[in-house]
Amino acid sequence: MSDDSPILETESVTKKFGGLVAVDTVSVSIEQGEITGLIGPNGAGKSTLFNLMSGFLEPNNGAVTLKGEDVTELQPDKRAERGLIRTFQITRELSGMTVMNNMLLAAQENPGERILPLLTQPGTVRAYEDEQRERAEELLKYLELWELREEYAGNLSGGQRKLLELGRSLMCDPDVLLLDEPMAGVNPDLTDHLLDRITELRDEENRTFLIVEHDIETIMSISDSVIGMHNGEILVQGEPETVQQDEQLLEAYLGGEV
Amino acid sequence: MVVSFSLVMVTLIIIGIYAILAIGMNMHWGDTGLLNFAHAGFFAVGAYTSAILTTPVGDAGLLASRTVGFDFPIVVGMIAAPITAGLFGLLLGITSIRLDGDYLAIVTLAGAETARLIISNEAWLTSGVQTLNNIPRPLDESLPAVLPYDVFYFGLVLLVLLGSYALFRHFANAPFGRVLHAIREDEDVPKALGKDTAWFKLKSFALGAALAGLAGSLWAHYVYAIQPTMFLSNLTFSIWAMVIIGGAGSYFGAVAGAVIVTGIRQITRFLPGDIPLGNELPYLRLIIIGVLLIAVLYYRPHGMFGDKERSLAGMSGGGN
Repeated sequence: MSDDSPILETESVTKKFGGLVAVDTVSVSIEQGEITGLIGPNGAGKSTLFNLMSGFLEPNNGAVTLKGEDVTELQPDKRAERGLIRTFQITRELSGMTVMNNMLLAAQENPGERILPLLTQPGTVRAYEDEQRERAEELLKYLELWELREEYAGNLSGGQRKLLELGRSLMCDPDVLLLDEPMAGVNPDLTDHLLDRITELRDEENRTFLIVEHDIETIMSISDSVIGMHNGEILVQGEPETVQQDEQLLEAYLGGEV
Repeated sequence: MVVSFSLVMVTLIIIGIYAILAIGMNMHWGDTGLLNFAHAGFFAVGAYTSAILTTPVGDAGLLASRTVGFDFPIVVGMIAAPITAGLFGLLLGITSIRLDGDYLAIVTLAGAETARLIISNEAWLTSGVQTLNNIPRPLDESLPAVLPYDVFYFGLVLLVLLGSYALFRHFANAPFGRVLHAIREDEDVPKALGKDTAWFKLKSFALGAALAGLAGSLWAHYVYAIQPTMFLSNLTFSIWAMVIIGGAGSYFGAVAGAVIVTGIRQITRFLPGDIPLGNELPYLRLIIIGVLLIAVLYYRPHGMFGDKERSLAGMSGGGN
């Protein structure tokens, strides 16, 4: 199912914060149509790697490639336009905007976001908005947030915010989704529901996921491939079964010296 | 006491022009969260553009003579004023829009002062510190005698006010405004969702600046004569007071704020001496506005017409 070349790649990327090397010459490839898990203890550099991939940080060294195109110099919004969407570890819901507006914001190539069509083509703008509203309705119902659509996002619970962020990302219709701890704080029933949705999106629409998650059991069960990170370096990458038995990673998680 | 009719009309016209300024500022601060301190500068650029385009050359002064003037019809000035002010806003924005919060405030304040100093010094273009006078009034002397000029001009200002109110509200309620609101809340989010936030901020900045330029044109063609001291940064601070008192994010609030603040300033200026404190109030008006500002911020931080629910969302309860 997947293409020959990886959809998202980092080539020896390094990111330093002062004397701290948060990500140290990391090369990973994410295959299209796969779910890749990214695990590692706190401070391993997972979120920094996310920021490098999504363009919120610029690497000191190395390159990021998306769909075969070098995007190292591109701003986050330009990468998003090319189909790469990320969520944030600490939810960044727009608290003073309603749930529905959070969703609609994510619609891509919205004519109503440009001044001229807004004045000259009100019909087109309205039609597009209605279309997006329908998509948002479908997603919100799926995420069990439909009843809360007119609520300000700041009034949602932590788990609901996670769901809203996921829904908002899906509104972008992304090819690659980087999810930073999407299950944290979400109740277990809904977690299963979410995992079903994610695998469905992979199987039926050939979407690609890179997921940071601390729940090892969950991540092992849905991932096609798992990357283990520690101290800014990749310890291991491979099939879940292999990674699970990697001694270095186990030690890193248990707090031992590597 | 006798309140003169013409005094009321003058006050209404000034309120109308300030309300237009406040609408532009509300797009910057209320919708987009940009700390713009250059509003007096945009107002000045609009006023001078319109004045220079519609007056002839040869406005000889004591210190220097203006050598530029076009004597175009007033409508040309009124169209050009928002364009040059918008371009000035764009220029200022390109250099500074990537700055956050306070830094943007400093750069915009400096930008407005720079504009005012250029106006003060380039006398060949602007008459400098002398007054640029004999600015024509639209339809002056061609109105029917029964219609007082100020009533006509207030009608014109009101028309522009209503038009810009409707237009800016339309922008704010459209998907365009939704992106601005997202930038105000947390710029990283729209960025992660593929929005070119710097470009949206520039558009917001230019639109608000252009509207301030239009207000400047209306001002210039009403007062006959303009000079740089009319465009000091305390004008900007007054507009800020209007937007904050009215309720940032609410266009109705911006207009209401303009009515309240300008009302206090103008009414206290012309109070007759025979009412209590009539002689003292004029000196106290800035204090009154200051006290009002503090009271509003203390009791209604979201302003008189701002959205309370919105400003409280996420402040209590919820996760995290």
